[in-house]
Amino acid sequence: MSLADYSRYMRAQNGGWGFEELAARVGSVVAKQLFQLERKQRDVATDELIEQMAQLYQVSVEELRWHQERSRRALSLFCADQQKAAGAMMLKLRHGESLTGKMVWYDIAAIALQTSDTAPPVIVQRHAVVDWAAVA
Amino acid sequence: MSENLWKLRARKGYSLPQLAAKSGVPQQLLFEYEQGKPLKSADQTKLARALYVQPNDIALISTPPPASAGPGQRTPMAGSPPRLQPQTETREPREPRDARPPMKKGGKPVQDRTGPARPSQIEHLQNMAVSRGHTPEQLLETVGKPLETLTLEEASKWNLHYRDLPRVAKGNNSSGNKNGSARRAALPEGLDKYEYEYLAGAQQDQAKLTLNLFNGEQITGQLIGFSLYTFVLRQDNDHEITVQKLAIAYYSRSTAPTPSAGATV
Repeated sequence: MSLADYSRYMRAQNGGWGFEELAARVGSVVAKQLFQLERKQRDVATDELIEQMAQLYQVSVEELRWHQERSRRALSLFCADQQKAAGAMMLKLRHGESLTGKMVWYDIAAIALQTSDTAPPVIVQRHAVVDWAAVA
Repeated sequence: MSENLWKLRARKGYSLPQLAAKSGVPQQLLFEYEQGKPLKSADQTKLARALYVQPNDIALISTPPPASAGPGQRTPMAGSPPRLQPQTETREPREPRDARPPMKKGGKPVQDRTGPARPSQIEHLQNMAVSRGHTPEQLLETVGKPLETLTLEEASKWNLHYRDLPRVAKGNNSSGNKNGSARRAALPEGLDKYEYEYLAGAQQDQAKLTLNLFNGEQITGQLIGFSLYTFVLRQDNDHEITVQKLAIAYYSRSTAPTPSAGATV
């Protein structure tokens, strides 16, 4: 899950703060940066912003950096590579479940995974994907 | 009461070219209108606007003006003193058509493709060659002459050539994250058509979907509608349920046969 998606997720977990509520906690400049990050997926997450996010949501900086490395673009590139290689992949989902299979297609919102030869493909929502890896 | 076009023009003190420029009606056509050609209603509106009169104020068929009020000449206003010297328009002789640069449809001169390449073209070519894994020396070797000596046409040709070559990813990390490559994701990333097609197909087949939500709940029903954000399912008890996509982790077509549509996969 990208940092932008994780930021939105954590905001929702904390009662769905709006801009004003967020600005009251971290100031309007940081609140604006966070909204830019969430809405436009802009790479505005500087070290300073990540530290402020960590304090705001009571999570570790390492956890935020982990999400920063798993951007939407990184997932797209991984999917593109998997499509070329026609290899199996593992998707770890937000609620802890993992799905393994071959990718049938992917687009901006979802990834179709053929988890078995007999069952129809499973359509995984991209917002549910936390981590991914190729399976040998 | 409508008046002759030439009279209205004279009252405003416009010459034919001036009125043509203001109204957008060609000068030749204006002349013909003033000579008695019936006025088209579209031109009547244009002329009325240019002359600050009502369209009906302009006679649809003008009586030709006296001989003195020819095209390009001002008609003396009633009561105005006669001009001592007639105003004549002096024009620079136009250069012959062949000597003028060829023009495109929009009036822009056609670019001379044999002229030297623009610096921006050369810079673009160098950047593209680098992105395609070519060193400056290889680029020179491929092109066969110094880049500064390329013509506009040659530079365009080489730019197209390099554009069509596959890009070379920077670095070894193919994940495309901050620390790795800067290459772009493949096209499907920017589209939502595959999921749309899948759902449209499921809806057409009256297929049942099984939605797996984040809270572990499973909802099964026939897909009767969907949008970017929601699914609408009809469950077996005929209840319709709307599910937010954000609540869904994944879904698939139900393998159980649908009574109304026969077997679905």
